[in-house]
Amino acid sequence: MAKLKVLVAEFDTPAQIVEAAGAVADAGYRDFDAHTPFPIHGLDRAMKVPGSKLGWIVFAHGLFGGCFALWFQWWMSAVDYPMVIGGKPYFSYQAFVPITFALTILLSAFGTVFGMLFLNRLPRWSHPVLAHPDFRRSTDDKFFISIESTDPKFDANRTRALLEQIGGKRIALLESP
Amino acid sequence: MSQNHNENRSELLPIEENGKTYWRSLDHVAGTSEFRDFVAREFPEGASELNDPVSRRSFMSLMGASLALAGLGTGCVRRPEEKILPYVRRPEDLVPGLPQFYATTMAVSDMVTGLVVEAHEGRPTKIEGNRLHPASRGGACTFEQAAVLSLYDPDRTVRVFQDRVEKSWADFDAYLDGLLQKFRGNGGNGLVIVSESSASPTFARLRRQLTEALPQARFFQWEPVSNERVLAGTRLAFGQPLEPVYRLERADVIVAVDADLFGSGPFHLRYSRDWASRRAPDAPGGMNRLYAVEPVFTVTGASADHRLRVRSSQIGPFLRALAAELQGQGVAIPAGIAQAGQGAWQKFVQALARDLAAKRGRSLVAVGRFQAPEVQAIAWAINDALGNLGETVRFAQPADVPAIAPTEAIRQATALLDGGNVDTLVVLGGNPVYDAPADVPFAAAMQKAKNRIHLTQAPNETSALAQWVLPETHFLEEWGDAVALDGTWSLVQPLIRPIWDGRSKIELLARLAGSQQTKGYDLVRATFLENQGSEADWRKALHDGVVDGTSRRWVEATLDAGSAAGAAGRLAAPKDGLELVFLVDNKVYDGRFANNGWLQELPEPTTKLTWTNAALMGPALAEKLGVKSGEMVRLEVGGRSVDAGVWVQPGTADDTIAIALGYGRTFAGRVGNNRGFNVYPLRTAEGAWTATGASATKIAGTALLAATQDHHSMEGRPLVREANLRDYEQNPYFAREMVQHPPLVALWKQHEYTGQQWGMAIDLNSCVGCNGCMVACQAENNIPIVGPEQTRMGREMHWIRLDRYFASANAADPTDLTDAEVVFQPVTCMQCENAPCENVCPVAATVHSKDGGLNDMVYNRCIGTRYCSNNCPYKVRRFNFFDWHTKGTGTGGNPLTDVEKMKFNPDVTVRTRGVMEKCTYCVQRINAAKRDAKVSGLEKVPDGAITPACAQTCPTEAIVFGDVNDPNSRVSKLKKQPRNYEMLAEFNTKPRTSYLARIRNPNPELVS
Amino acid sequence: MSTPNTIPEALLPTSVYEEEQLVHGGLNFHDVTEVVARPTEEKTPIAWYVAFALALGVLGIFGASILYLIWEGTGIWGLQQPVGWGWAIVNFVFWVGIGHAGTLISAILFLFRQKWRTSINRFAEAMTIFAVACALTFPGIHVGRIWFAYWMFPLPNQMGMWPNFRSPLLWDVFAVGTYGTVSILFWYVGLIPDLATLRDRAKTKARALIYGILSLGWRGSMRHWVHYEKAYLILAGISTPLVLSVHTIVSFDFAVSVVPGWHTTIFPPYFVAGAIFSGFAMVVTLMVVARQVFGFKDLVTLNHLEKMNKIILLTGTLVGYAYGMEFFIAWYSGNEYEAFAFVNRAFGPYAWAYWIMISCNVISPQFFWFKKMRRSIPVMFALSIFVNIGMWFERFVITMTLHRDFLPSSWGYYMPSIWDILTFIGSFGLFFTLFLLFLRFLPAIAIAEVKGVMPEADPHHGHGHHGEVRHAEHVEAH
Repeated sequence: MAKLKVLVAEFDTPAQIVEAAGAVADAGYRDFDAHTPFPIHGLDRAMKVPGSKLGWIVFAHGLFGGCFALWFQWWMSAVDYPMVIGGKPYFSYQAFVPITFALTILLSAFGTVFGMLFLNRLPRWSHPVLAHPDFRRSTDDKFFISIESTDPKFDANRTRALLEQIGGKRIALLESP
Repeated sequence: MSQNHNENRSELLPIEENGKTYWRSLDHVAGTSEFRDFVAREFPEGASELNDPVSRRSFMSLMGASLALAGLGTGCVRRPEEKILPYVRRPEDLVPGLPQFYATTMAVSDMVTGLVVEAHEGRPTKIEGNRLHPASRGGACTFEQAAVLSLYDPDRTVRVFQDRVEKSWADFDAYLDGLLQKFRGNGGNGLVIVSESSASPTFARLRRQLTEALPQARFFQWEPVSNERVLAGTRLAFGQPLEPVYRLERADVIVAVDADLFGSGPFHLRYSRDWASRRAPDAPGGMNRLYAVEPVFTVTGASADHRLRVRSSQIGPFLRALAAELQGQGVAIPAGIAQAGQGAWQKFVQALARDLAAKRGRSLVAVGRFQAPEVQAIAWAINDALGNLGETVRFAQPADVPAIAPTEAIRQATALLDGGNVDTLVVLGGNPVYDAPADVPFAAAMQKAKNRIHLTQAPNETSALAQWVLPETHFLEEWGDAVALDGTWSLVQPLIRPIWDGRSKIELLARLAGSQQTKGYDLVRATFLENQGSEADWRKALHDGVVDGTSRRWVEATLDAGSAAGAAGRLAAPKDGLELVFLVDNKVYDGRFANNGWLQELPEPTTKLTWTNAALMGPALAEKLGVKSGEMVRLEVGGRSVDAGVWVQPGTADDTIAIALGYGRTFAGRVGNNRGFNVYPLRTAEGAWTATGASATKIAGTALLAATQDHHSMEGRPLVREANLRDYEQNPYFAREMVQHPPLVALWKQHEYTGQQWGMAIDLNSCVGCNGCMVACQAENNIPIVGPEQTRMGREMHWIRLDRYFASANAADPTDLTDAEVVFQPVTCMQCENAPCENVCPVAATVHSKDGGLNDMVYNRCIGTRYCSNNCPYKVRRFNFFDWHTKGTGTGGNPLTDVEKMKFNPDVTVRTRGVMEKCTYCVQRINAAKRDAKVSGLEKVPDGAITPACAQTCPTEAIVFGDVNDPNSRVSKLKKQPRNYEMLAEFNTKPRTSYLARIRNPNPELVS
Repeated sequence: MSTPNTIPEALLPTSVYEEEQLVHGGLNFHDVTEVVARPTEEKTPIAWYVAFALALGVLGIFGASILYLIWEGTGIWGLQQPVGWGWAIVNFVFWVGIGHAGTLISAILFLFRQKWRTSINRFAEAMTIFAVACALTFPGIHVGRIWFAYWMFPLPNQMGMWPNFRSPLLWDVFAVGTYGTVSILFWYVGLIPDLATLRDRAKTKARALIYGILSLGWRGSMRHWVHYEKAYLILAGISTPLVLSVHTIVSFDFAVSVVPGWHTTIFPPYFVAGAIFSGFAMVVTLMVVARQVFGFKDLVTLNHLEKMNKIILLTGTLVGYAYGMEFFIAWYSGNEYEAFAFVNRAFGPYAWAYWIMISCNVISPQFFWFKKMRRSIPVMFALSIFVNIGMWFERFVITMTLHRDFLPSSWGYYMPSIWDILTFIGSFGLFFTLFLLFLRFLPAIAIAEVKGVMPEADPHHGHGHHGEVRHAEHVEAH
């Protein structure tokens, strides 16, 4: 495949990046992104980013965790090796609630974290934008917009023009090694 | 057949015990840990002089064993002449893993008890009572139960020693022959023999033989605890020394006057049983009534319906006052006996007198061996007047009264020795240096004898002053015979070949007497055949353990009123001021069991003290002296003084300090050294039991007294439930109605327990709190001892314990314990069906067995969270905080030696560190019985086929075990009784063990 | 993206409305980064080495006393009949309790939009994790056969046995285990952007590499932020019931038993309140020191501390209420054993411990009714320490209830041995060792979150004062 090219422009304030991102989105770009040191509220809507589907992943995990916990407690104490304990029935489900609960939570937590990483395609230790000379400040106090060459409307010159026009600085075209 | 198994056993044993050592190399004999300990402890400087450690015997036993191991067991080495017969079961051949049972007899001075001993592959592991023996009737007391431990005691005399150098029997025999040459010449002049008392006819025979052979030799028998005062009393009353034997089953009213009928002394097991047989409210002949008059609590006093605190010196006046009241009731008391009393006890005496007068011929006034002959005589006069002689008490000619009473004997012996003309002193057993009267300087005198020989099971204070120390056999290693109080003749047969190549007293005595026979077997057999008949009888006697029809002919005793009256007149008027009472300890007895860890760790029944004795005094006296429990007092009598720890004991007579004998041993061994306080230095020949004119002063320091129960009161909780006979008759179900609770509904559907389900019923009415069950359990279940420090921390391991609660007899002030009532409650795992312990165990290490319904404890699954113990309402679970056996906390940090390990019951796991343990209803016995039932094609285990150790040893059969699903089993019948209740049942734990409420039968006159 | 706004705005904490200055000293984004990141970058101060050496020493005591325990046996502790649980369990509950503040601050306060939490949550979460680590050692070592402690997990074994899922101790294993794991995950997720910050500021290859790997190649992408914030919200959501359940289940260790004084339904809520109480106290103790040492004064302001003190006052009073209610129920139930247990607590052999507990937990927090006290550093420092002493004694008093239960014959008195004491002290070594490492190598304050709550973070910042509307937007955006 062709090497991934990325045009990166830098902005100074949350307000600027929100407007810029809005403009890029309005220009009909799809494969673009904003890089900010902290989540900026409204930016996602300006970029027309759809809501996260993470919730469903978590739900599935939690459901599985609960059922699995209840199942193995039933199987171990009522099927595989039943023992009379304290005069209770083999399957004394009332007493199995705490562990069922704990495992529901545990699996949900795994679902959340690994689901999030999956949706974000992380970890990814190498990405062209990271090569931008000033990109280090994206985790400090600067704001960036990156437009990727995979975008159908991507054109090195016209896209650069757009970025300049919306006030982007230190615009650079970066290629993945 | 059986002799073959016996042969195997006796050949194999020495090897089992330190085979490893031998196989490595013969020179390692001296390296066996117990031998090293022994030398190091007794003869430090002698340790270097060990030459030629390989004794003839060890070599022989090695040879024998190797042959036996080579499979030639039956045919090998010395052909045995001894034949002993298995008791209950008689297998065609020794089945490895199956225990064998043999009958034998144990004699603790004059306490003779017939026993059945369980042996595993030739190791005696468990002792039980012999139902055929009159003193036992199947019961056994703490001393007998613990005897196994003494057998394997590593501190025993392990070799023959001369002046601390190891010698062999051959050396000694040569030496002895030399001496005997001389004595045969001079008729035994200069030969003094001091022996502990013996109930053995053979011993008596040989003693006579000796005095015939060597007329000049002097023979003395000394025993610190003896019945000499009883015999003197009967001599006063009836003109001849007679042995009284009570028949409590026939008495409606029993007055125990300073008499510990159930505690210790000959026939105490039998007396407990006979008393208990009339204890149930519905007992045939009605419920008996027990009065106890005593200075300090005994188990007898604890079981009494009425107890009166009376100073020991006041017992005489009390009896005379009683006589006076009886006269008032028209009882013909001979003149000169009665003397109207003035004591605070008048109300009691009057009521008692009326009660006795109403029960002529069916009552008994029993005076203990601690009271002066004069006091005994008064009692006999009263019994005579009440027509009790021959009814509730019978008299027998003592089998073999030594010419001189023990106290006089030790006096004379000491005088002789002190004279300096004694050439040879032979001490047969015993420990006179430790326990001779304080005013009889035996120790000093002993050293004036030229040759000093001590035959002893374990080196003690006396051996330390002897030149020759000879290993004496334990009764489980020797042949012998003994005559019980009622004359019943029983045999002692060895369960194991002498571990340390010891000789029995009779064997050594036989040599001294110059008899041809010197083997115990021949000697005993000879005595038997000449007195008791044929070879067949002999075999039967061996099998039964007792000889039929040998109980004595009873003597018709006629009161010599004059002499009795004279005795009464001679009674010294009681002095005021502090008096000291010496007690026979029901753990270490006179001190002889001091090195027995099971007994040391046993809680004393009424004080619950372990590992020590203490100066017991009532709250009032303690206040007067300004001392509290655990502080120290200096006791002084006649210029002699002893320091002792204080224990405030409710129900102790005013101005009385009671303290047990037998502690403070300095030469007992690793377990018994320096435990408690030695009070023999205060005990004179005259004041052997009561020392008047004593003084006590508080001194600095604290005594670390380890008690297993710190809390006296039941806090008004319905744990032990009791009622008076009358109230019981009005409402038999009082016990069940004592606790009101809503209907017990379980959140869960309860499991159904079908088939045989085990349960237990404990009758609080007949439990006398004797502790027998505790040691029985300890022996059966390999329960370790933990030592005084750990006991103080509350880490004792007993699976069954006896809870003791005091209740104030003072209705006005429940906190006043000057006069107290005491109750005992045996508590062990209740095997709850809804067991709280099971729910909380994270690893399911304690679960319920569906078949049997037991609360199983799975040792190898337990990880030791101790949660089960926290959640056990009865606190019957015990935790191995350390590896008790290898850590030897109870034995001064000495891990178990190879010999000690022989005590273990192979049917029970030895628990390791970090696991929880508890009563299992002796599940190993249950399974054995099930197996047998299956083998003999039975559907179920028949009722009574399973008896847990505690139930088996209980002299009063207070513990009954069986199938609760079988309506006809004994236990089911008991559980149906109205008295039956379950402790803490209101928590719906559904305990399988239930209690029968205690019923007191007080004299209506004395019930306010 | 928008989460349904569950909380009516009227109820929203004021901070959402007024532009409350959460960050002082007029710091801008870069300054915040500087303040937080600098301590992890500049040369390690001597003081840190001294403190660390000290902590390691105490940790050594911990290790030594555990080794001796394994060598000799549980007997080296003061345990006995009837007190089968001693300091080990007391310490376990104590540490778990402390562990609660972290999750509470990061999860519950997050759900309640308490922006002020941002400057302390990282710190509190770290404390949670380290406290839970300390807690978890105790159930492990207090068993008699430590080498078999793993039997508490449902692992196939040669016995073919499984654990007993009815046992509260097993519930503990799962509950506390889950709690520890989720806390770590939550903490790590929060760390990712800040790790990226450290990566980007790295001067040396090693730092760049390590922080680079740990930050998983985070590049602050807005599309990532969307999932990230969702994940954070969900974690907060599931941690909230979890944090409440953990101490509930720990309290079951006692409440589910039959022991009088343990068998009470009030335990779960009262344990949770106690846990938050002690947790916040510990945070205050540590924060007061840390903000001094690391100069976080502008980020962790007196307002933050005052808010925590208010919570301490509240939970302390709740706990006091529980103590009273226990007595009332004991009397009202008419159960003689229960009644005795409580009278015995207050007037029995352990009365001294009981009254220490009362004075530390119920009386001392009452000072926080006064604003002066709430805002006085020395006062809050002293009180927070009192509270932790008191909470340790609460657990001690509860455990010691064992010493007198049903049968007076089995009553006893428990005394800790030197090893009990050393083990407890040692556990602080573990705690502080981990904590010092954290302060040295990780951002002690959530950089990205703090920036997020600065006024400058608002795209409409400085655009006049129709803030209200926009803030409503925030709320949705969250």
